[in-house]
Amino acid sequence: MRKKEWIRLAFGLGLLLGAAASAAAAESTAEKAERGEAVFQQNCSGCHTIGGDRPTGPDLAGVTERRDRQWLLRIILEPDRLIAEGDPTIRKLMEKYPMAMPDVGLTEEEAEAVLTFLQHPLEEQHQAGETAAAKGKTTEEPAGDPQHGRDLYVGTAAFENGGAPCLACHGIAGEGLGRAAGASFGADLTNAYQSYEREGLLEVLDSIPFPSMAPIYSEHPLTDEEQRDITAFLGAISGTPPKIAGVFALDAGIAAAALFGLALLFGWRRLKGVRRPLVAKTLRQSRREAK
Amino acid sequence: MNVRSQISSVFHLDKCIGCHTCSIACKNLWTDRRGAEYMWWNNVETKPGTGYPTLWEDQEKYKGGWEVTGHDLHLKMGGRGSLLGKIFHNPHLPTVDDYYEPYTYRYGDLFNAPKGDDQPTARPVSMISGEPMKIEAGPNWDDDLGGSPIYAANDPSMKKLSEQEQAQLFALERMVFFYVPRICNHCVNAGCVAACPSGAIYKRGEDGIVLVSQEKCRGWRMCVAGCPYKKTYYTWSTGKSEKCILCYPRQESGQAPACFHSCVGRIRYLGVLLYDADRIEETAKRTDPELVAAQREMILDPHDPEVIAAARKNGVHEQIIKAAQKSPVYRFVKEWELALPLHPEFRTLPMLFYVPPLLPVIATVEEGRTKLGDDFFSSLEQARLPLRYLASLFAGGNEEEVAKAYRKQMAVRLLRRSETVEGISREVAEKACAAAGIGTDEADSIYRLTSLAGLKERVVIPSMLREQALESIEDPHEHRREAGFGTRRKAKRRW
Repeated sequence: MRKKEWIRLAFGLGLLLGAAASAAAAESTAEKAERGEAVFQQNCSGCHTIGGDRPTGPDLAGVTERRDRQWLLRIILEPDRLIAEGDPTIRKLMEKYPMAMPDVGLTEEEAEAVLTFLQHPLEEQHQAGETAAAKGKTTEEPAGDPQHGRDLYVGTAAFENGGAPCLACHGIAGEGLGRAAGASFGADLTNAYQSYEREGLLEVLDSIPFPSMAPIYSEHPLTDEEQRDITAFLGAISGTPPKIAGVFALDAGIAAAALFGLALLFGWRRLKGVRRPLVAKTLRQSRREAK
Repeated sequence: MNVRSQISSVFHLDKCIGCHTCSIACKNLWTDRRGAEYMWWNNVETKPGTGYPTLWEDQEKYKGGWEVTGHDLHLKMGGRGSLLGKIFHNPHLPTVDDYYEPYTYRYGDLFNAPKGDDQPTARPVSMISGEPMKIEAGPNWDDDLGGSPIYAANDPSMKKLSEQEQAQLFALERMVFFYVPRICNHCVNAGCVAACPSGAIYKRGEDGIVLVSQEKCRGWRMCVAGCPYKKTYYTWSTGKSEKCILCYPRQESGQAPACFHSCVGRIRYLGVLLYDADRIEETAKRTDPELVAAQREMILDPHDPEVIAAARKNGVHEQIIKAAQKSPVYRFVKEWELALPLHPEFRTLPMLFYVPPLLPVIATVEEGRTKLGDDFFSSLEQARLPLRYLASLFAGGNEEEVAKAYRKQMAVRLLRRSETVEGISREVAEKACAAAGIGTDEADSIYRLTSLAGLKERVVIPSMLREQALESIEDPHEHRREAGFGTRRKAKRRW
């Protein structure tokens, strides 16, 4: 009897220990997924949803089952190279989502965490994401002031945290902004609202996922109100036809003039000299006469 | 009357033997250095010939000098607008090949070549690139090639002659050539000065010498194109243009310019001319045949009290007026009308004048004996080179101007022959003088200045009055009681 009790105790203990060990393992995956979620929210959610729909990037619900893990790691870590290689999957996706995926600069570990998160989305998170996406469309956040948004964009009003005005890099052909102001570093934002929609723009302005913009705004983040104002402004001007008529004609004109100049420079009697042609001509003549 | 003084010169071509001593003297003194190898501020050309740089007289190619369009005088190279289009690439500039690519020989090879069966040779190498090269041209490549089918036949003035006259010039027994030494003409209406966009070229107020400021020059090379005589040169090593300075540093110390001093044939005369600057524009606008006479009119008589008074009023120094009265140039150009400007039709009003050369007459062969023309010293019609050729060179096509100068030269010769050798009577000589429009006294003074004059008579350099010129720029007492004169001014270079 005593002996049996011993064995039982030992068995029970073993069971307990085993359960504890497995619980610990489960916890680490969850932790990793949690960390992955944080990274996702900060870097990816500007364009991607989990179980939603955005025009900026594909929905990532169940992506780990659809695609090879190695491929997913690459698209996160080195998207530009993958695109440059002309990967067929990417090409197909690009047809639907014209904006190329930027390199957001995650470490390999962070990428793994994101993938873990995508593989094991916490159920409630998943739902929360969905509801948030659904809510986003319906909830009435205070609408931004497009006029103030324009002032911020152009730089007549300063950002509270001292960020650079958007026009420094982005022109808006529809408003006649840019070019003359020298804004040609970033993409033209006339149609930004159409491709991102309100949620997307707010998210982009909040998280600044683009690596070229991050160093400019990470120290000088935009306030919520500023984000709303700029989004409102972009919404207001969205889709207006370009005001700078004949920008192409201007470029073509300059190019043609440059080509013409070059042709003149090299083609037109360029220091042909006098002595050599004179001697050559005379010798030719005398040879002809000799014949 | 706006009286100015100008140091000008006469080259007596009848005395030039084409020895190039002047060129060498100038080369050794001024242009024997890197970047200036190809330039000859003084060069001697054989005429008929294409000259240096090749065909410099052909302004259809080089667009130098002035032209009258409507009522105005314009640079042939074009106005500011068209120049702006050519500012980085002017198709009317001579290339280095049109001058000639300067060369030397690898003389070291003669001594350092390894022992072998062949005689070592010194290969020609370019002085610009240092690479071995084929010599195709030189600064006097057509020297003495009066009948050359390449060079003489392409002389731009040849086009003024009829086909028959041209063909005759290339017949063996009629071949002919003479020399034209050329330096900067220090023109009154200089094309280079007008063409310079940097304002670097100026005509010295006190003596009319045209200079290029090496500080202001930005190397646009408009002067090279603008000068119809191609007497400004671009120095590739400094990126600046340079030209003949009429040896003003020598003149300032009372010495004749190097080419004048070294001239073996003593053909060069230098002296002051007074001219009326108010008449420059009107003179330059005259028609081609009138130009020689018009330029002569512009030159004023330094003995005329009115002129002297006006000169004084204009700040021309007493010593310069005195020098102008002794000027041999004044006598040749104005008094005797013997010396003519080279290509007056370029309208720069050159202040270097040439006494045209007396050319041999055509010899005929009779009964196996060569017989010179009947009228050896007085026949213009029998001259080997037609007057029209010389008129296109020295008188803008006005043959009468050249004929007048020749008649006088011939009269002087006949007079001297009648006095020194037998065969020509005094009567004939006097008749020739009368036909030329000079008295025997005048003929005698022409002879004296042409043949007997010493250096001091041929080259009358006025006092350059440097102390006065200096005072106008700086105060000579500025550095009194200071130790030394401060640092020397370094040339400003902007690149």
